[in-house]
Amino acid sequence: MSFNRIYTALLILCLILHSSCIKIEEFPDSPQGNFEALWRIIDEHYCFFDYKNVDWDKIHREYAKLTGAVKTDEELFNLLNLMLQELKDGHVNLTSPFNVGRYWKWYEDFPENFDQDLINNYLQTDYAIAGGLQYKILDDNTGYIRYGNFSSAISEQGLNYILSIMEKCKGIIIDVRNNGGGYLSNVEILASRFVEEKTLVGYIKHKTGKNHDDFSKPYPRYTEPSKHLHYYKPVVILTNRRCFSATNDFVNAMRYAPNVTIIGDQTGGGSGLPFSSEIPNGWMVRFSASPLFDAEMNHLEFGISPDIHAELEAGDIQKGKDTIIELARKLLN
Amino acid sequence: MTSALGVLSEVTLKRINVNEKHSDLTGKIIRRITRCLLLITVSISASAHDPPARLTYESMMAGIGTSSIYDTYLSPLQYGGINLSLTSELMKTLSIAGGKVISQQQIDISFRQAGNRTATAVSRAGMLQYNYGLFYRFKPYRRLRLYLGAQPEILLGFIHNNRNTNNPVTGKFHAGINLSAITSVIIPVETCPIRFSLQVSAPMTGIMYSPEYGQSYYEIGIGDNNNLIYFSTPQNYINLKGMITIEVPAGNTTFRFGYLHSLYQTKINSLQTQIRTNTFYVGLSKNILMVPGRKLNKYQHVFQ
Repeated sequence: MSFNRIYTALLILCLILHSSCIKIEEFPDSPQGNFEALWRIIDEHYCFFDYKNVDWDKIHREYAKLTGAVKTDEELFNLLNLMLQELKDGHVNLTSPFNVGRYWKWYEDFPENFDQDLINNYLQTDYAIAGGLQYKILDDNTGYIRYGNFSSAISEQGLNYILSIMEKCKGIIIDVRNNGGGYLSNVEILASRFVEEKTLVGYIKHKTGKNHDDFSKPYPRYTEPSKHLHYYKPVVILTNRRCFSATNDFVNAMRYAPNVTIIGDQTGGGSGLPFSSEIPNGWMVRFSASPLFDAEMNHLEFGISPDIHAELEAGDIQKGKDTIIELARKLLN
Repeated sequence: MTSALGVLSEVTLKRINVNEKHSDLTGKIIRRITRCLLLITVSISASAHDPPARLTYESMMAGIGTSSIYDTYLSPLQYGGINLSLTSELMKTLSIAGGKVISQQQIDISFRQAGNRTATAVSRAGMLQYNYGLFYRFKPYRRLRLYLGAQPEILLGFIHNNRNTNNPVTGKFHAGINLSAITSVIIPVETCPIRFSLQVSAPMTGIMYSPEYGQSYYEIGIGDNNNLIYFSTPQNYINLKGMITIEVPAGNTTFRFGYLHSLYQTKINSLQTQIRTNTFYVGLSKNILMVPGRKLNKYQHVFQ
């Protein structure tokens, strides 16, 4: 082989490699640089632009001209947070060392329908605890399970015990009000105890590119029946506007289980699986990246309506009664 | 990494002659000439009768240096930090094509930790890489060696970001055949020959792993894993390494010092990854001349 040929081949290889080199584009750590970085992160990754009919280019035009007046970190934070609130998304947060930007209108503008003191009247002091679950058999032989956070662990052994002692009950109330979400794995562990067969509960998509409409085909999500103890008697799920994210997903999954009734207020939604990123000054941004749908391909971003709408009533509160729990007990009895 | 590229009997024996010129002690010269004659005898004998003598080179080094990590699945920012690495290398002359074909095995384990500019987040990356290459030796000039060959590669790794939610980690996998070129220049300096070497590898074809642009590992975990493996080409996968080494014989040991600049880069599904390292290595190397059935000499003695 002639060396001229070898050197030519090496030169061509070098040119190919050179053309393949990544050009890292980083914005400066200035108000304008941080604004542009944040706008672009959302522009290229956020998943609900079309569904929410958000004109993100227009938002850029409106907010970019305000960056010139920014003098302090607080002013920059407020401006960026204001821009993000245009997305009306509880999964969108801007986190700085001194504040967390958020959009909480999905529950702030609605009745809470939750009072821990009222719940304590039912649990009293002799309730049991299994991981993140608090439970008790009420005096009318109704099982009551309170789950306040899907980030709290649920063990299969704990569920086995709870479901076995509640086997004699007329039914179970699972109270997930004010549960702001957590791990989807806990959703699967809990929901799998209430289905008899593999059940289609929804779909998931993800972005395949930077354009607003670059999405994958929907991929089905199922609830697989657990290999452990099952519960097929009537189950009531209690909801309110603060059922968000993984809790929203749990409520959706339970809608497809037999003998399940949803009572309370509409859930808060939050069906975009959130990703994280950051801007040049180190502030973290979280955003919805991957939309979840129900089994009929409906968006769940703005919540799930209950089967029976119920709200706490002042008269019941005065008597120390939780209207929604009382309605569930009536249904099960 | 790139290494004892002069570990071939022909080069070795010429170096002995160069070194001998600088020796003052007659006894030493005589002893070395005797040793050289012995080696020459073995070499000639080995080349005259099948199978020929074989040289084996082994090296193990630990390195520390700087690293930058850029992975747009995790963050649009480039992180800077440290690189820790262990690398081992085994090269052998094969008894084909008149000893002009060498094999090279490399195992490299590295760990990188890097932070963003404001020290509010940390990325950690780990990689395990194995290469087995076959190279043909060219000798365009007296002290210059050029090796060209094919190099199957397997790479496994991950990058983790400590504060991300549903995109905290991304996996790395590549298996393929690289074209690899090694150039090596040996400069005799008294008893300490300095070997400069550079190895460049680029995948011609292979397969690599990547999630899709916005695909979560949760979705992959529930079974949406049909679009994770892609063909790799120099357009979407680069793994370049350039290393300079110096080998210093001391008694029965040969110390090896090296500097490595590496660039690992992927560009697929609108996701970009780039890891650059600058690492200083120190370790040991061993050169063994083998004739069938017995180990004849340690190569570092030849340098003395």
